[in-house]
Amino acid sequence: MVVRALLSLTPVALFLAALWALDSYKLIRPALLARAVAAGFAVAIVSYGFAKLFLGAEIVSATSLSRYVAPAYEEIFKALVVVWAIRTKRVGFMVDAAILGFAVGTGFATVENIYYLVVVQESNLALWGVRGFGTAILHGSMAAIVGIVAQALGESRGQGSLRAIVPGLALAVVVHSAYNHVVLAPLASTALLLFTIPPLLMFVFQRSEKVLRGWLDVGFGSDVELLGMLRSGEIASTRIGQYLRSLRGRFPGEVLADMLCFLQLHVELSIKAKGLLLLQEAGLEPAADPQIGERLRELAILQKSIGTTGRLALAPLVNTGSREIWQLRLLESHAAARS
Amino acid sequence: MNFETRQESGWTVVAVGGRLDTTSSAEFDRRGQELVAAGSTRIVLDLSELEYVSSAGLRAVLTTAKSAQAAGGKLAIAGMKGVTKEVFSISGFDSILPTYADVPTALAS
Repeated sequence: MVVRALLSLTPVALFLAALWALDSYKLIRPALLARAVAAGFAVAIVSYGFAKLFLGAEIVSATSLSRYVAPAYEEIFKALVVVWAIRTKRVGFMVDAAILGFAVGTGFATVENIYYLVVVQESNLALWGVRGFGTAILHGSMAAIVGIVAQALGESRGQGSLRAIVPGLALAVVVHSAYNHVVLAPLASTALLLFTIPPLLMFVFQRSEKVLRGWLDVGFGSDVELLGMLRSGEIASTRIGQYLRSLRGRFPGEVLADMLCFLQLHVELSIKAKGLLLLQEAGLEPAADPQIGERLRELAILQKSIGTTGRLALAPLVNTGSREIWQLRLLESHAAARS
Repeated sequence: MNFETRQESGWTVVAVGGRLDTTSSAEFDRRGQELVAAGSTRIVLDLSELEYVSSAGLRAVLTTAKSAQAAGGKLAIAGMKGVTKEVFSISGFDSILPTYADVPTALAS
């Protein structure tokens, strides 16, 4: 039993740990990783209920369920967690989307394999090897692919939009369905999976880290330049001052003052978030700033005060895209983890 | 970027001036590594003349600090002012690297 459990449960957990360790920026904090795995547990339990329902009501045969229906709803349920993470800006790059997706799949596969360990009394270790190295890795990888594709397409199609999510989800369903068709011998399918998924994820990691580094370097440069202008003491003569003056007729004075405060606080928090990433990249963990929660709340109040029009007016000066929101969430989760 | 070194009270004082950006950080990194490799592991970075630091510059400082630490020494930063000081402070680098108002204070620490 111990060997069967080790073979079926540990590979996917080790694979997840390796993925997390390979991310030099440690974008996914352990608490979020644990929540994603727990969500995978829940998804597996709900999926089990669906399977029982389909088979009990004789809606589909066991073969059709395994080949077509289960791959669809299982991948959709796992994708819901990934989409939630993307939409709430808990992931900002392909690498963290991949890790989070894989974590959901890990939770799913763990529950599924525990169920099989309980109900299937098969002593052939090859079966448990296939379940651990094949099916479990498949569950993790497919959810990771949904995250990777959704994140990559989201840059042009809108983060969390259906147009960004459907292609990766369709791919995951097709691959999962193909795997369940057992066209190849189970050991051959497992070998194929193990030879294709790690290089694919490696490629994604390298590409994503390059994108992250580029974003970090360009963003940090702009932030420092903006901070320099704000701190010059002669803001009126800078292009920011000239721009804000040009808005005087369109906004009341107190809103203009809040816009300047928003700009200042936003750039400070942006530098702080990027500094955190730089330190994490070097394997260092900075001390938590006790004021971070207060500053984020202040930013939210200022954001409300200046309204959508004010934010749009500031768009030429401050980037408020999904990655900028993501970096603020990163600061928040770091502060929460260290407090 | 200016990079001048001198020995003082058992420390290697490295005065860095100008801009520590993507272009110059590679040179800073190389010269920092050379210093550590040559045995100068107690380093004070005098940044009083530094006008600009980018993320690449911060990375290079961190790499040199880690190398010095790995070799049993340390790297301290002195003399920062203006936006450079603020960038170090806001980004949290001053919680990782010891910072001092000026070089004499750093040497006396």
